[in-house]
This record gives sequence, structure tokens and C-alpha cells, in this order.
Amino acid sequence: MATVEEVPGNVIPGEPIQNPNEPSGALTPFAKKWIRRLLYLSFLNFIIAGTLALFLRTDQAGNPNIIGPLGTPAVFGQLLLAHGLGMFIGWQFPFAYALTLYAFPKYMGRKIYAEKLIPVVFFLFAIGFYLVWLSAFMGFGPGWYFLTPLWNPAAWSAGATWTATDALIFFGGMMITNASLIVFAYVLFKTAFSSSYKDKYNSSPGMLSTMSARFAAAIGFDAYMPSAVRDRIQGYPIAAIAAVVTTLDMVISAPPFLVLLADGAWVSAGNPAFLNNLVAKNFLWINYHPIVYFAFFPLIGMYYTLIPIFANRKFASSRWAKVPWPMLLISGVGVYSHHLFMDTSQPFSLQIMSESMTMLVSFASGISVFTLFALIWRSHYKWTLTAKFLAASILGWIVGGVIGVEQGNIPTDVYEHNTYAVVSHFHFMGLDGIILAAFGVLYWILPEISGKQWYSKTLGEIHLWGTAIGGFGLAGTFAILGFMGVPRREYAPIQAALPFTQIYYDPLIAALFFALFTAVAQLPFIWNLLKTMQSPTTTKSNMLPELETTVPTPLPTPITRELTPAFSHASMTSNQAAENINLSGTLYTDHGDVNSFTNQAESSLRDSQ
Amino acid sequence: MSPDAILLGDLGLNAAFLAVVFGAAVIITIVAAGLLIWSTKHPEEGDSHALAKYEKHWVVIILAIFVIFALSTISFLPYPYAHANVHPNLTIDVTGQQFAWTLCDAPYWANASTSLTNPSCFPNSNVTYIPIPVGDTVLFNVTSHDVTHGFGIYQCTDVGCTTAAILDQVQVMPGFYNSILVTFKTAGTYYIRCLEFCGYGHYTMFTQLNVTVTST
Repeated sequence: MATVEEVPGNVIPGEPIQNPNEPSGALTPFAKKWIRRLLYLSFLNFIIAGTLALFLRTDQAGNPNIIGPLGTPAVFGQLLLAHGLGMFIGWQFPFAYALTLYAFPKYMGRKIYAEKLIPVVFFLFAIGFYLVWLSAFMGFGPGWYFLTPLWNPAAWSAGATWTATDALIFFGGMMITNASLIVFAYVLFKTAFSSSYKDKYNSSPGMLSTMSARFAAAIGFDAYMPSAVRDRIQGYPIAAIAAVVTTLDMVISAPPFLVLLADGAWVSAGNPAFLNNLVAKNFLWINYHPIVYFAFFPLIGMYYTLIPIFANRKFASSRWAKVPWPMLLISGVGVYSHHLFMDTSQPFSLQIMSESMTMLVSFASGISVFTLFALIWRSHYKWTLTAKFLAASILGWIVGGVIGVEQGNIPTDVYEHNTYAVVSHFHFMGLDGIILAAFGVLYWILPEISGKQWYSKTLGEIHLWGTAIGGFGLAGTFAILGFMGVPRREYAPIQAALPFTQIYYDPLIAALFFALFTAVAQLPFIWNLLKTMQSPTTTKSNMLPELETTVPTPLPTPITRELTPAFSHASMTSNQAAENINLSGTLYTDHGDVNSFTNQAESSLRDSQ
Repeated sequence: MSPDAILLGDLGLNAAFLAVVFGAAVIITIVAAGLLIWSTKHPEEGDSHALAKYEKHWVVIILAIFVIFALSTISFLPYPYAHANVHPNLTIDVTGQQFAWTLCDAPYWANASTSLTNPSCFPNSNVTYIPIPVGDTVLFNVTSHDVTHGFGIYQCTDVGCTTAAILDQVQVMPGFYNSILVTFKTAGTYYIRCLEFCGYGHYTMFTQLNVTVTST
């Protein structure tokens, strides 16, 4: 078997991104089963939360002369909470759990540490999050970012529309949800750092195997070290680095957030608050900003993993692929005070820190985008469905990043803070960046972890273009509204007493149109997923590791896996696999086998259409 | 003495300018994406990975962009303490309460409960009649009686006020006083709107503020 360094394929020199040494069975059937369930749960929540957003749109686009708002102002607040947290937590948490739990065995070759805890993570999350949605259903509606003391009915001078019990259920649910995060972090960090694994990350001749060396490798900090040291550190795969960085950010920011939740529960039970309003706002955003990155960072890790495969090219330098990650680790939390730029009572040092951190995260993003751009430029890029999803998502990342930079600068934020420009930013980033990338990854990995071929590639293409057109149209319309100064989170933005609000009507209708367009585009996805789930298992999921012992890389699962019978993993012996691979013309040795396998599958796919 | 410029908007660099910058960035991104797609249709034979050698140049360029952007705007921080040389002509205290604004002439602002009954205040009114001469710089001190709000000042940009733009804004938080300095350069109608979700009546929380041409 070739060593990593001898492989001229899609790997960073000296970096085990494609992990040729994955021990058989690292991604166990048990892990696959729970990863699958986490993914199904996440996309179920996505569909529900997205549907709720349609009612937000109809409320805002409702014109008294036509249909009128369909909801009520109180329900609008509940929808703000249910939609926002449905996406940021209900969709994102289980997806991030699933992706990171997939990445470690897949790209690092380590079986998940204490994988029996994955069901604990699943059920803690499900119980906690559905309590949050239950609270919204019962009337709790301070919005997805629940500013203190708005959530407290006793603080209202106008009479609250929910009770302290509703608030208590909410805080209880959020705490249980965060408990799932803590269990997950334990599993992930043990997988990343435990000394019990007997592999090259812990014991390679001549290499440093101290905890500090492993930690440096796990956050990509080895890229900053002098070569004499760097060469003695066993680099971690980028997908694993991304998982560690995002989980570290979540854990670092969890304690203050848990204090905030405890304060909320304590007050809801009839006790006096122990946090003042400004500290509470800090404790909220110090966690709520890293939440935004929870799934995004692992997805960036997947960019670094999959795009080299599509481009049939290695990175020019492993350092540039790692350089952004320590920056992202620091700035992931450090940017949080930009949510308080318009609070003049916030200490100035925090404001300047967060403005600088926002520039830093933008800088790191800029490096990543260029690295990926350079990798694709004039390459033999395979525009598979997943590749298209990833490309569209990078567009969302760039455009959302630009408007984010405007909001990350204090003097320019004056004109965009709490307007639809912010909504535009996180829809470009969230819907057009994160969600599109997540769909691409889902199309890529589901066949492997389910053993089922996607039902239809055509439906996948319709899903791609529908979601991209609707998503970019929606976020773009939000940008127009933002630059017009339309405040976010208004039940009825058009007011007869405010003459300048009359021009909001057309863009609000356009936003409704694009929201409906995006929603309709999910129907082929739902159908495709349901038919796929109903289909018989055509690929024995536990056959993959066996195959990989002969083709010594984790197989990048081709989209839709519409393999000919000759390519069915279940029906193919290792020798047959190698023979079929060679038929396609080997591009590279070893890794080339995988690429040719992938490419042959893609060719087969195209031939079938 | 009123300064010429406190905010970027005083230089005309407001939301409209930011929209132009954003639009230009979107166009550049689309062109770059188009070129990228084109490049994959014309792959290089030798696979030299030619663009990668410019990574260091790119890093320097984007670092310079961010540093210049941050440094060039630092003089326009919307915080009164960043403009110690500015002495406001008028101080107005503002109290937010679900779902209305109360604006008062200083010095009554120090006691919010008093200000609600003070004749210099306009509690829960849709129109506030505090005369503000054109060109005056006003210090707004804002707080809340109940929950969090957002204090946003909109300036009409035409005679009929069919369009308006954000002039300045600040968050409103019970137990704290946040402040902004605003120079009213033109006479006319201004509107104050709530910019932070504060409950079911959030969207109805606004008042009108008239700036008049008077001698100081």
C-alpha cells in the first residue's frame, strides 16, 4: 500500500486528507445508523422551520387591500422564534453533529470514541429542541434571539402574550439542548485527542505525540510553526480540524450562555434576576454567534475535502489550507460584540475587539475562498451535483460576507443594524451558503451511510436550481429592503402613518415570491429522499471498509450512486472493483483509483440520462 | 460649535452608498464565478496550478483592504465619547415604552418617571414638538421603562416623504442610558422608529419629529 507521501493524487502533501490508512470499520454500522437519523432529524426540522417562514412572509407582504396579514402580531413573534431557532438549532445542531461524527472515522480513520453515546446526544437534543418549539406553540414569542428582559412577562408594560410557564419550558428546553452539545463535545474531543488510539496521530516514529502537538495539529496551528517543528507534527485532516474548531467555539461560549439560561429559568420560577440586561445581552451573543458557525465550519472542511476530488488536483500548499483555522477559532467567538455595536453602554474595548475580529474572520474567509478558487481554476473540474451545490454555496458565502463586512464595521453598521440588511446577510450565509453546502454534502454521503442509491439525479438538479434561484432571490430582495432602511422583525412594515413605507410593498411581495419558490423547490428533494429511504439497500454499507482495504482511500461517494451492477459495492469483489476501476483509465495511482472510480460512476451517471 | 461630520452619513456615505458598494461586489463576484466556470471548460494541459502562486499577493491585498476600510472609518464612530470636542446645542432625553416614545427637553431626562408628566415632554405621542433649529447638533440620551427597544431616526429624502433613510440609531435598554449625537442639517420631518423587536406592537412604535428653520 502506498504511503500518503507517495500519493500524487488529491491530498495535501504530507497530509492525510483522504486518509489512506483508514482502518476497516472505523465508520461502523452503528455510527452510520445514528448519523443517518441525525441527518433525517435535521432536514425534517429544516422543512418545518422553512414552512413557518412562509407565514412570516405572508404576514409582511399582506396588504390590507388584497389579502391582509394572515396571522396576528403575537403569533408573528412566535413564528420569529420558531423559524429562527428551527434553523439555527433545530436544523443546524443535528446536521453539525452528523457531519462531524462522519468526518472523523471517514477522514481520520478513527472509530468514534464511546459511540454508544451518540443516541444520548440524539435524544437529549430532540427532547430539548422540541420543548423549545412547544414553548413557541404555547405562545412564547420574543424572537429567536431572546433579549433580556423581553422574554420576561413581568417586565412588560403592555401585558405579555405568554406566561412565565411558557418561558420556563423554553429555558428548560434550551438547557437540555445544550446538554446534548456537551455530551457531543465529550465524544468528539475524546475522538480527536484520546491516547487510546494506536494510530499514526499518536505514535509515528520521529514525530511529536504530545498533547500540545496534537492540539496544535487539531486546530491547524502547525501551519504557523517553523518547518523544523511543523515537520514533526502529524497533521490532522482539514475535515477533522474544522470539527474541532467549531466544537471548541461552541464549548468555550457555552458557560456564559448556560448562566443566561439558568437566569431565565430562575426568573421564570418567580425569583429575582442575577444578571443585568447588558451582561445578559453579552452572554446571549457570545454563544449565539458561534452557533452560526457550528455547521458552517465543518462544511468548509468538506470544501477542502471534496473540491480537490472534483478538481482532480492537490492543494499547492498544505499551509494555506490550514492558515485560516486558528483565525476562525479565535474570531468565531471574538466577533460576538458586533451584535452590540449600537449599544453605547457596551465597553469600547469590546467593540473594537469585535470589529477587529470581524475583519479577521473576513480575512480568513478571503484566504479560504482564494485557495479553493485557485484549486478549481483551469482544472479538470467535475461538475457533479454536489460540486454544483458547493460552488453555489461559495457564492453565497462571498456575497453574504461582503454585506457582513459592512455590518462588521461600526460606522457603516449604523445604516444597516437591525434592518433587513442583517436578514439579507444571514440568509446569504445561512440559506445560500450553509444550507446549499449541506445539501451538496448530503447528496454525497447519504448513499454511503444508508447503503441506498439516490432515487433520482434529475430531482436533485431541480432541487439545486430551485433552491439556488429562490435562495439568492430571497436574500437579494432582503438586501434591497435593508438598503431601503426597512426594520427587521416587523409584523406589518407598511404603515399608513409612515408615507415612506409605501414603497416597501413591491420588494415584500418579491420576497414572498422567492420564499414560495424556495419552498416549492424542496418538494422534489422531499420526494427524492422519501423514495430513496423506501428503496432497497443496494450498497451494503458495511462493505465499504472492506473495499477500502483494497482501494486504500475512503471512497468519496459519487452523487446518486447510480452505479451499474458492476459497480455495486455489494456485488463486487475487491478484485472486480480494481478491474473495473482500471477500465476507466487510471488518472493517478492509488488515489487515482478512487478518482477513476468516482469518475466512472459519474460517467455512468451521465450515460444513464 | 457643530462639527461638519460626526457620522459617515454626514459625508453622504450612508445606506445608498453602501448599496452601491455591495452591488459592485456582487457584480465582481458574478464575473469571477463566470470566469471560474469558463476556466474549467478550458483546463490547462500541464496542471500547473498557476493561480496558487498568487496566494501571497491575494493575502496582502485583502489584508490591505480590511485595514484601510477599518482605519478610514474609525473617525466616524457613532459614540458620543468618541467626539469629545463636539458640544451639542440641545439635549433630548428619550424613553421607550411598549409601544411608544416619550421625548423631553433636558434637564428633565434624569428622572424618567418625572419626564412622563413634565410639560416639556411629549409622552406616547405620534408627533413630538420639540423645536430643533436646522444645523443644531442634538445629544439623544435614551433608556427604556420596560423591555429592549431600538431608537432609529429616519430622515425624509423628498418633499412628500415617499422615501426616507436611516440617519442614526442606538439600542434602548432598561437600566442603561445609551447616547447618540445627531446633526440635523436640513429642515423637515423626521421619524423615530423602533428598531428592536419589543413585542406584538413593535411595528406601531414610532413618532414624528419636526426640525424647523429658526434662529438660534
